[in-house]
Parts: sequence; C-alpha cells; structure tokens
Amino acid sequence: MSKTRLVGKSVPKIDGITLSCGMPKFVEDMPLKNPLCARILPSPYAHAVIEDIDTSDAEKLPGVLAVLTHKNVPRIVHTTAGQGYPEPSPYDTFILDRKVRFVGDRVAVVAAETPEIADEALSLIRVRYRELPSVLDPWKAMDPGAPVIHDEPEAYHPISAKYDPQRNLAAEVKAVAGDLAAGEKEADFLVEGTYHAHYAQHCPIETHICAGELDHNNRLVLYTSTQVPFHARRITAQALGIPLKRIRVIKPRIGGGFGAKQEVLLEDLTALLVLTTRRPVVLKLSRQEEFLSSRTRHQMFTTMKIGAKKDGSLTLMDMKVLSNTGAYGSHALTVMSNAGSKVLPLYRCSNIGFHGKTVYTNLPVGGAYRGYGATQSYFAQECLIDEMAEKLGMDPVDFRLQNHIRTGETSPIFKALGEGREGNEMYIQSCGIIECINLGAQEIGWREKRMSVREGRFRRGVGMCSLMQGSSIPDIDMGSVYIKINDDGSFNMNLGATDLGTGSDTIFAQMAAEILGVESEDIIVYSSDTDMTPFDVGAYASSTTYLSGQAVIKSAEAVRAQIFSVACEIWGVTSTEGMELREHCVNLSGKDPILLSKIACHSLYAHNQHQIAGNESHITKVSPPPFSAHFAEVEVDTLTGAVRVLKYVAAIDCGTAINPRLAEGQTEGAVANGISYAMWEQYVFNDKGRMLNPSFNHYHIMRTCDMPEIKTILVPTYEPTGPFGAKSVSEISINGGLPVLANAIYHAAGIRLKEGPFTPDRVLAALKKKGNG
Amino acid sequence: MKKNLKLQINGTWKEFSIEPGTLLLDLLRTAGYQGVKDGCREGECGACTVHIDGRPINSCTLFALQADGRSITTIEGLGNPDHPHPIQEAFVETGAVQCGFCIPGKIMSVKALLDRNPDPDEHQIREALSGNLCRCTGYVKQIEAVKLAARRIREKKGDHHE
Amino acid sequence: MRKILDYHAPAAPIDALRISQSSTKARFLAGGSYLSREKTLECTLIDLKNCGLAHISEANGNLRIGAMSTITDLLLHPASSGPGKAFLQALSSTGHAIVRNQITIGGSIAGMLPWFNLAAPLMVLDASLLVLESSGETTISFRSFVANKPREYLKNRLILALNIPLVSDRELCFSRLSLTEVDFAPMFAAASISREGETVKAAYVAVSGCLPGPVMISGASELIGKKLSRSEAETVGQAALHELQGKIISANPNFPPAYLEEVLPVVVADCLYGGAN
Repeated sequence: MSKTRLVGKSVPKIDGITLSCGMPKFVEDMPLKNPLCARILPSPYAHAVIEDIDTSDAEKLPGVLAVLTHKNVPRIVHTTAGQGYPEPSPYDTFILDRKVRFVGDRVAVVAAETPEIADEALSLIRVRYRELPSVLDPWKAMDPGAPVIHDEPEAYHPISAKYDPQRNLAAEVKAVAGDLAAGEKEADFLVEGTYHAHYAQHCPIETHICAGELDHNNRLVLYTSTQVPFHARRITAQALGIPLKRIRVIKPRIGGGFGAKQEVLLEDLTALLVLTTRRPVVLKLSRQEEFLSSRTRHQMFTTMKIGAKKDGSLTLMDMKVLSNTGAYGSHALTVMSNAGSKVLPLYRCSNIGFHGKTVYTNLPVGGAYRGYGATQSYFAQECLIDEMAEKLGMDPVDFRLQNHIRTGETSPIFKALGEGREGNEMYIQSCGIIECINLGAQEIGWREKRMSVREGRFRRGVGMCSLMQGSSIPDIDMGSVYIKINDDGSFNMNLGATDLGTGSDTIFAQMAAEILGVESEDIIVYSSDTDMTPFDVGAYASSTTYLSGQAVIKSAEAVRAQIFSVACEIWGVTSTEGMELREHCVNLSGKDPILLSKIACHSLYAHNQHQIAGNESHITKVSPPPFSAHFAEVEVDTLTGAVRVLKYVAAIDCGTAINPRLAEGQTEGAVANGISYAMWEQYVFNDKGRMLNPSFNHYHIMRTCDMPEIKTILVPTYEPTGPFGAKSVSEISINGGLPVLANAIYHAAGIRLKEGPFTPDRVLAALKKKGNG
Repeated sequence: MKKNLKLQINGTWKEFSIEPGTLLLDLLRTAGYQGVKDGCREGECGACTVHIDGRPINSCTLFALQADGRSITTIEGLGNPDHPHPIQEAFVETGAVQCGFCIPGKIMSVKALLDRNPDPDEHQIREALSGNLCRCTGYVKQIEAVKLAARRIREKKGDHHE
Repeated sequence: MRKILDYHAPAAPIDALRISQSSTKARFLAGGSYLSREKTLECTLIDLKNCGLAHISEANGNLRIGAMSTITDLLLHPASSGPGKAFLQALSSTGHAIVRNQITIGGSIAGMLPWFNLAAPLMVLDASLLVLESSGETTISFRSFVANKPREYLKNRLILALNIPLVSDRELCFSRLSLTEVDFAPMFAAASISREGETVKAAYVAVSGCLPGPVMISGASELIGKKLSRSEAETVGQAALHELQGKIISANPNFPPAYLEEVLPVVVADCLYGGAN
C-alpha cells in the first residue's frame, strides 16, 4: 500500500459547515412557487375492500385542487422497492387500490392550498369498507384457508423466483452446501433455538418527503428524499405509465435514510398530483405516518441448529428463517436471503443449510433497513455460538477465534446463496477479525469480567459477538462518475452515488483529490440528479464507498491521463512517463511544474481545445465482507428486570478507512441504533393490527441521556479489490445490538432472551421462569 | 380571524399577521428561517429548537402568538459559513454532523447550555441535549464537539481578559 | 382537525376567567406543549402569559409557585430546594431538557396527565392549590383535588398557584420506573418521612403514572413508630399492591399492566429505602 496524502485523513465533511449553519438544503426547503399541500387518507382496517368511496364533498371544498382514489389513477402493478431492474421483489402494488391490506395503507390523496384545507378534505371523504378477515400472525399466514392478501390477478414476480401469493408466500429460498445429515451425525454437541427479531422503524429525523413541479419544458421535476434517485425515476415512470424522459429526479441533502428511503413511496402520488393540478406539490409524511405507513425492519424468526465436535470445530450450521414482509413484498426475497448469505459464511463449516420463507401478513410493510436481514439472523447465530461455547466449556472469545473464516479462505455459502439467487464464489482477501476480537476483549476487560462474581440484586455481565456483512451486490450494482476540469484547476465531480448524510460526497472528494494532486475542497461534488449526473444504483447494500469509490478512481485516472497529454503538448515531450500530479501541478523531473489552471486554460482556450473530462463506471465480481467484533457490559436489576447498558465496544475492520472520523461516525450511529433496537424500540400492536405507539413519546430511540460509553476501534486491513483498500462500513455495526446484549444479559443473570427488545417485563418474566424452572 | 404579532428575530423586529392557530415553527419557516427543521411536530425530536429569550423551545409545540413581543434566535442568528460560531465549527471538525437535519436544533441547545454553563461536564451535556434526537451519529462525536466548543469559547474569553 | 377560533391574552386572572365563562369552547393556554399537539381541537385560546402567574417565592414556611412557572424556572430558583433535593430530582425527571422550558406547573396539574411525575411528590408533600373561581380565590388540598374528578373541578375555575408547606424534619424520596431516562414513567412512587432519631414519626407514600390518577397508599402508616428498614419498606410495597391490585392500567404501551403490578412492591420499597440496599 503506497502512502496516501488525503485518503486516511479525517478531512471535515464538505457540507458540514453549511448544514451546521442551517442553510436551506433539504426537500422541504426547496423554493417552490406557492406549493399545494398533499395529504394521504390512511386505512383504519388491517384488511378490507373499499366498496364505495365518495369524494364529492371533499372536491367541493374551496381550496381543494385534486382528490385521487383508485378510481382515477392508473392501475399498473409494480413494486416500491428501489432495486435494480428487474427488481427482485414481487410486483404487488398499485398507486391506489380498491383493497387495503394494513392499518395505514393508502386509500386516497388530496392536494389543497393549505394543510388545514387538506386535512378537512380528508375528513369529507366518505369510504364504505367491507372488512375482511386478516392475517396478523406470520406463523399462520400459510395455513390452509388463511385469508389471501394478494388475490389480485396482476401480482407476479418479475424475476424467476418462487412466489405463491395464493398461499401468502412472498418468497422462498433454499440452499445447501455439504451434507446436513452427516454434519449432524458428526457432531458431539448440538444447540438449537428460535430467535425473534422484532418490528422496528428507521426513524430518520426527516420523514419521507417529496416535492414536485413542472419545469419550463413541461417536464416533471421531483425533489425527493431518496437513497435511489435513478430507481425512483424509473419506478415513477412505470407506475404512472409515462415516459421516463419526462421525469427529472433531484436528491438534495437527505435527513437520514437507513434503508427507509430505498423505497419509492411518495414520488408516484406527488407526480400525479403535479400533473393533475399543474401546480407545485409537497407531500410529507407525519411522524405517525412514518411509523404506520412507510417501511419497517422485516420481523423475522430465525431457527438455527449448530453442531460441533469436542475439539471445538463446527460440523453443522443449519438456518431456517420465517420473515414477515407485511402487506407488500418490498425486499421480501432479498432481505430473507441476506439473513443467510451475510451471516453463515462467518465460520468455517462444511455442512451449511439455509431455508427461508417470507410471508405476507396484514401488518406494516417491511423494507430495506440497515443490516438488511443480517441484523435479524445474527441474533440467532451469535447467541447459539455462545450456547455452543458453553456446552464445550470454552470461552466464547476462544471458540470464535478458533472457527471464524480467515484470509485466503472461502465459504461454500458465498456460491450457494446470493441476494435472492445464486451467489458468487469469493475468497477472503482481507480479514481483521482476530485483531477486532483481541482489541475489543482488551477494551472491555473481558478475561477479568468473565470471572467476576455475579450475585445480589444488581448483576453485571459481559458478552460479545462477531459480525460480517458485504460490500455491494456483485454483478448487479453499478456506479458511475463524471469528472471535468475547470479554468482554475478545480474539478467538478458529478455522480449518481447518493450521499444521504453518510459523508460519501466527502470521501469521494478525498479520493479524487488524492489522484488529481489537489485538495478535497478543489473537488466540487454534485450528487444526485438524474438529468445531470451519471447513473448509480444508489445508497444501499453497503456499496457506496466500495463500488462508486472505484468509479471515482477510474474517472480521476482518466482525467489524469488527459492532463498528462496536455502537459506533453506544453512541454513538447512525447511520453507521459514519470509525470506526477502534486500540489496543483503536473510535475516531471527536469521540467518546471505546470499548474493545473494552466493545463485547463491551455486545453480550453489555447490549442487543440477540448474539455478534459472522464466518465467511468464500475461493477464488481465480489462483495468483500467487513468484519467486526462487539463487546458489551450490562447491569441487570433482578427485581425489576431493568437492564442498563454500561459500555459498548465495536472493533471494526472496514479495510482502509478513507476518512477515519466518518468511518467511526458510521459505526457509532449503527451501534446506537443497534442498542436502541435491542433495548427499547418496538411496535406494540393491538389485536386489530394497529400500532399503538406511533410517536417518539412511546417509541424510544436513543437519546443522549440513555447512551452507554461507546468505544469504536478501527482495525485497518487492505482490501485489494476496494478503492485504496476500502471495504464497506455503514451496515455491519447495527447487527451487534441484539446478540451482544443478549449474551451479556445471559452472563449477568443466567437468562437467555430470544425475543427483543429486552424490556424490563421480558427480562423479569425470564428471571421468574428460571427461578421456577 | 388574523392576529398581529411582533417578534424580534435574530435581533430584528418583524411584524406578522397570522391565523391564531399558527405554530411558531410554521411562522419561522414561512418567513425564511429554514434552518428551523420540522421533524415530528410533537415536541419530541428537537429539530425545530429555537431560543425564546435565550431558552431553547420546541417551536413546533408553541403557538406563535405565545411568543408575541419576545426575542427569538434561530440557527441563522448564530453564524454563517463565512463567519461561523465556534459551536458550528466544532461540530464540523469533530465529525458530529452526518445528515445534518437535527444539527441546527441541537446547536441551539448547545448554545443555551454554554451560555449558562461555560464548562459543562459529560453528564450536564447529555442532560442538556436530551431533547434533541439524532439517528445518524450515536451522539459520541456530538458530545466531543460540545466539549471542544466549550473549551474554545472559554479560551477566547480568557484572551479578552488579558 | 384543528381550528383555533380566537386568541386572547388577558392581563389579569379574573379577566381570563371571565372570557372562559363567556364561551363553551374556551381553553386556557399555559405552556402550550400539550394543547398545540392536540390533533382535533376547536377552541378559543386564553393565553395566561400576561396574568402575572410566573412567580416563585418562599414566605411563611411555604414554597409558592405561580401556575405559569415552568419546570426550568423551578429548577433554576433557589427556593425550589426547600422541599428537598429529591424534589429537584423529580423536577428534572420530567420530560427532556427542551420541554421543561415550556411546560408549566399549572398546565401540568390542570392536564393531570398520567406521566406528570410531580403528582406523587405533591401529594406526599401535602401541597395545596390556590384557585380562582367566580366568587374569588379559594384553596384546595392537592390530595382532594386529584381524588375528586380534577377536570370537573376545573370547569369555571383557574389554578393560580401551587403551595408547598416547607417542613424542616421531613425527607422526600421517590423512585421511578421507566424504559429510558426520558420515558413517560408508568410508575412513579414518592414518599415523605419524618423521623425522631431513627423512629418514623410520620410517613406518606403516593404512586402515580399507572392509575387513572395518583393515589395515596394508606399502608404507609404501618411505618409509624418503627425504624425504617428494607423489610419494612417491602411491607409497605406489599400493602400498596394489596390496595391497587386489579386497578392498575398502563399509560405507556411498552409496559403491560401485569408487569407493573408485579413490580409495584419493588418500586415502593425502593422509594422508601433506596434501590441499592
């Protein structure tokens, strides 16, 4: 690895100061002329047919410009999942339908001069529902005679995947490597259990919002809070049945996404309302709607069986997953597949099985959520690994150190299981998990604390877990970058990669500046705008740094080659050999350096005029995993069941950290979300499928006063296929919360929690059961 | 029935004529103070935090008329990219800003804290920021930013005394 | 849907009361944090901000708190430590840092929301309310206020101030059960104890959060004449359970009522004797 000048430095985030000064940069700040306010009428029922809908009174209300229902919108089946085309998610959604499938499903939408008028118009819409029996328990979704949620004839899966809506089956995947029966027979010890990862919401502080208007060419411009501008353009065109070329999607700054905005939820309605009224329209979800009607983490039940020999080697890892996608199949197949493909390869084992099913229910809709299935099944795997260590009489740290995958090794599951299809064979080329485990154990004080006495009312314990994820979807994801030089030797870099607050614009500027011999401030980054920037799949699947970063490097190198050609002209030499870009200059020994501004002006104004520019794309054949080890210390109040998290350590190998502060920030944010999910966040439903706590009053995300001490340790490795050796960092660290805290609680109080969140009532119930049992 | 009110916003008196149910958040955003963010409209997330007579308030749970005649400071009143406030600088330097949606409100809470207590300890910082939710950062670097800003402001004041 | 018909900001409490009596749709506006969030509301607002009710003072052995004083006003006022350090802690466990700048003592009492953490402390401190009615000012003990349909009582009345007698040998303590620091505590127990030497002379315990309104636990009188120990505290906890069994509801969907019932004795005992012992 050669020495870098900017890569590996914590340069300040390029949009940091303008954000800190509150400059208008988000969708709701866009300067629209006298926009209309749109509001959605939600379904009060979990499952019902709209027998009749009368909008005449609403339409008559002064100030109401449009009322849309299933009667007056195009009926084109599609998916809201913002994925590559054709999407690996079933087509089961219409802009508005005659049937509603969960509490919060959309029934109608109005656009009015003010929010008050829009609200009043909603109250004037008269709907006659015929309530249908509903499916609220995913375990019963496939029972014979269960109500069919997607009985519409149009529903189908656009890729060849198992899909049987008549049985409420949204997806099914099986993969086997080796011989499961032999693996079970070889085992001296077996452990097995079912772990329930619960519903949760992403809770970006900016809720979903889309604003639209017609431009001077009568084209539709959508400003939207999205992670996937190009998919948003394509799916909006598809759902409305209008030409894609008529739509321009602009992503301004985004107030957090975490997967919730890898979804095309509001663009279709906004677009239709703009076309109907010919006025600018803003559609924003309220916090309550964000909980009820947007997207959630797929609820998942992971049943796993692990076998090991007395010497501690693993003979069997068999995982069965039941995933609940709610009323629509957004990401139904791929989240479930990832529960296996991003989790099972972590340990060496020859006999690995995966069988996943995703079912429809009449509950809120699952979607992409940071961790993407891996969060759910790591709960099972890492708790069962601890159980096995206990059976073997081994320390969980030593057991993991013995078994985890290492550099140069592969797992049969890489090939057997991808994202909803077969995967790609892959050999690990960078792996820092040993260092992660050792440094994390040291930081938490593992050896001493594992031996400590645990008695009395308040009991402390420590737990750990190991994790991996991937870096982008091989053979599918593509990122593309355009760079051009300006007169003053600065560069524009336009790219589709979607900074949603993560800092990707900044790290790409660092990478480009590194190659072009300038400072990061000399790179003017613009992302993303479907008219102005080249294609990128968007911000998901831990792909941005790893994949789009390579496109940045390629484009910058292409630009550098053109700069060198101009230098040849100026110096009158024929070979670019020995040329270097440094300190805003082209350098060649024996020659006076040429300033980039001079190169630019020469190429633009003086001779053989042309625009120095590069536009390169990148795809990948592999998805190299980042690795991580998490450690936590907790204190359990054995009388009330209340658990306090005292300290949390995340040691992470993300390859080269392009910007260590931002990499730490990604880790800390994911860790906080993981703790919050494991400890407090939950959907409380009534028996009609209605969420009872759709507000920050009763849905608790971590506040400053709730934080444990959080310690991040970056463990550098070098991934040869990544930009400057980088792998992904964004998702992996959310996966630790459930298993590491469950393992720590087990160590503290001897209770094995298999369902989150670990609220006092669940903990106390487990303590009582243990006491009695 | 419209009502008139006067507010001193970031040092300048302004007059408005509004519906009595108008929330301060909506008044401020409509008047161009778009650094005031709308995150929950239920007083829980703190993205809309402004100062009224120096104290942080959720502008989403206050009728604008309640603030009639009072002095309001929004994030725009603290600094701009050419002349940022030390708190704004510290947030950028420490990596405390990710998506930035919660940041204006949070910085207003920090400002009120440091005005009152120039040398807060970790507990006091956590307490003062308990009303400002952030989903991106895990707060670690934000707390670091407050400590850095506090130190810088103290040092600056110390310079003046010499 | 929300419709604010009109807005008044009278300069005196009596004017506020008069306006409220002239319209069935009038609502007093104190801090506003609750009223401004009500999704369906059609009313005329009577803002009390100009009524001179934001005052805090200590006089004649009483802490007097004007109804429009905010929680932060109280936290910053030197007189607020009069009822004990635990009173300040209870104040600072109310909501989060920003909302404490807005919510007022009078508004909280008038709303009598289940998560109003001060309800139990005010009961055991023998607080009283100074109330304005058409015929003039009157005083009502906080205990009888909460015990007798507070919302009914407040029709045609306006809370002017809260009065807490400052008794020198009285200790206040509380314990709070919640999911997180800022959570609405579904169970909040407070106690005030007077002792002679180590012997308990008087003891009052109240529980709030988990019931339709806060209640006194009569079993606390068992402590009188005894030395306070963990086991005595637990006895009172069991008495509390006996008194409240079957009546517990949860103001917080994250806590099932059955769980609250189970831990009520622990919460009460922790309040009286501390959690760590």
